[in-house]
Amino acid sequence: MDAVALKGVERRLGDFVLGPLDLTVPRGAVLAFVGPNGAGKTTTLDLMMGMGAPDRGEIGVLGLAMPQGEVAIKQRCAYVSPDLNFTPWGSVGRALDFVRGFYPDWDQGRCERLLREFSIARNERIASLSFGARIKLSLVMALSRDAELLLLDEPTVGLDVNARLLLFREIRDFVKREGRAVMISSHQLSDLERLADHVAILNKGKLIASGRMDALVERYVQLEARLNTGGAMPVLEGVTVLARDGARLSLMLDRKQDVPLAQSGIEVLRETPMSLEDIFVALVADKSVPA
Amino acid sequence: MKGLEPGARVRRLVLDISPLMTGYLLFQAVLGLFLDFIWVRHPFGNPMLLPGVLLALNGSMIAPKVPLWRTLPVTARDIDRARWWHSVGVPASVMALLLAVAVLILKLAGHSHAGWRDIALSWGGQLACCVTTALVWMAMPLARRKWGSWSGLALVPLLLLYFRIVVPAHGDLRPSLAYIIPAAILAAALLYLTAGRWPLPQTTAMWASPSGEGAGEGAPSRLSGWPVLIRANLPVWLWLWGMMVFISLTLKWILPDFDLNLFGWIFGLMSAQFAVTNLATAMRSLRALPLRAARLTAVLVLLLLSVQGLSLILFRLVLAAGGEQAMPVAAFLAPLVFPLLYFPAALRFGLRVAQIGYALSIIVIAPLQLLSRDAATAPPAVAGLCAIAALGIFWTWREIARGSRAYRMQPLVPARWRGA
Repeated sequence: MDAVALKGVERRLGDFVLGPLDLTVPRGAVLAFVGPNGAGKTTTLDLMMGMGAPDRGEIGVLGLAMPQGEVAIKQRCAYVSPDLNFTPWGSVGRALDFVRGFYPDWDQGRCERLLREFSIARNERIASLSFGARIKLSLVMALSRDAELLLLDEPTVGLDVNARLLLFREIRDFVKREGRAVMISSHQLSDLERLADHVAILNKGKLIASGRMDALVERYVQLEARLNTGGAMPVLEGVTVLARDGARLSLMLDRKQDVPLAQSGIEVLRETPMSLEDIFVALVADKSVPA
Repeated sequence: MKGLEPGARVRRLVLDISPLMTGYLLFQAVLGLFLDFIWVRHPFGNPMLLPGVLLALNGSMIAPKVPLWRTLPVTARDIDRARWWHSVGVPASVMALLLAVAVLILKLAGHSHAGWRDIALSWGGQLACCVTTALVWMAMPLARRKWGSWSGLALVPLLLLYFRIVVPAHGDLRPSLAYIIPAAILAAALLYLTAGRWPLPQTTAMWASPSGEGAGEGAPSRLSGWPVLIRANLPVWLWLWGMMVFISLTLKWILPDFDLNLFGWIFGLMSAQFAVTNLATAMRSLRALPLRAARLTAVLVLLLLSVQGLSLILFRLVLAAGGEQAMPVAAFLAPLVFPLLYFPAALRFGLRVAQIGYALSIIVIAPLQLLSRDAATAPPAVAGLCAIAALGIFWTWREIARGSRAYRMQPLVPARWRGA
């Protein structure tokens, strides 16, 4: 059973339309949920946490349907977002005391360790915490229990390098336990490429790529090429023009497609592997690059 | 690249008004004109100062924008000048215009109107309201930053002065206004001249968040869950209630004829403001808890009603202590119900717009309170208030369960920056 199963999920917010979205996150996976600003990542995570309801589609989390299984889902999920606001509780200690009351699986020892490692004191005032420290507090809350699914919305925003490394270590430890899964949305693609084994790319509310990270990185390759025919670049399915300087071309090739490059007058000069960031930029960019 | 002239910069800041706010200002202007017109036609008793009280509030409405303004290529003086125009300059001009329009209408209709001296005193008194409010808005954050939340007590004399001006229940105001108005004009001029040195505005309610003081325990508390939220906010409640009792009884002592029943709404509104602001800013955190939407709604409604109920019980005790004849119990229902309408409005429209929702909720509910005081009209008024309460609870549930705006709440930006 998948940790997350979204089927045909749609949500309209003014002019923005999310979906229809079909996405699964297998147990044991760390899914990098990436997309440009306003792509719908936070909206998707919000829907999974019951913050708003989809107009259409089904949301399944840990084998339970939202909203019917809302309480059980939240009991077994841990959620982190930069928008979580704990100001009304005044101090870090009080916010933690409040939250732990809702989770029988709260591990106080782990909480104290995380507080130490993230360098937050229980008596610190929430209002005077830095932005990064607020995220750290959310992370402490999320990681102090025995959740089965971590939903992390921009967890690295404002974190210093040490805190980021600590977070990644915690995520790796977390996912080693049986049946756990992580869905992490971030713009730090290089970090995600090392951490995640699955990826989903969202753009303008639509899923444009998803699957295993290694498969995605293998699938696309960057080509330095020369166009020998002169004139316009032929439109070829599976080829995206990244840049052009006269006859010199920089292309992204989808290896899944059988593209007749030579027959189209394209001479490949060099092949370079692409990083997640390169692929993301190419897929999300407007494909109508002047050819 | 050549920048804008100072005058143009100030003008741009002054005109930084959203369409919604424009609508609200127009509403205030129409209401002010109505009040002025009634008074100019029948100049009973003291000069009409209420339009000044209404328009004086606008100075606080632009406060949340000030932190952003500081990032623009404008000077601190430009910002303070814009604040001056919002809180003193524009209201003074609009109030003069409204009085002039009221007189003009009466002249065209061939009716008599109040004497010119009384009209001038009205305008001057309205200006004094605006200047006093501007001073209060400046003094509050300054006092808080210098001496902490309890320094709010230092504002009591200023508030007493304010009520001395606006409450017409204690004799002829005109002789006092003859002194107050020149002082207000002088204060307005001084405020204008000291632009650039004003303290930062209060962009969150003075009592909006618990201080965290006294939370120095290194170990987890024995309490957990909802009681922690109540305990965390208890010191603020005690502060708020203490202030309200102190102000009410001091006012009664200074002005024995003052009807403390007027404070009913102030008690109710201050409690609601604190509770609603606190809960609304934390909605994302609250919704992430393993609770059904219906249960979360029930808990929040219960919290709001408890806080409001306690405030109103305290107010009733204050009335008894002040020797006032208390309002009928039914009349307490309106301020009790108020946060049930104000809270979903804040969830739906955000904290900045909630300032308007605050006023609109009062406008919806206040007439029902008036009706509920009379035995004959009380039953339908109570029924109406119960219907509003039910509607408010349903609306809250809907915002929590189905809406998404409650989770995108932008807290009012605290006006804090180094070097200010």
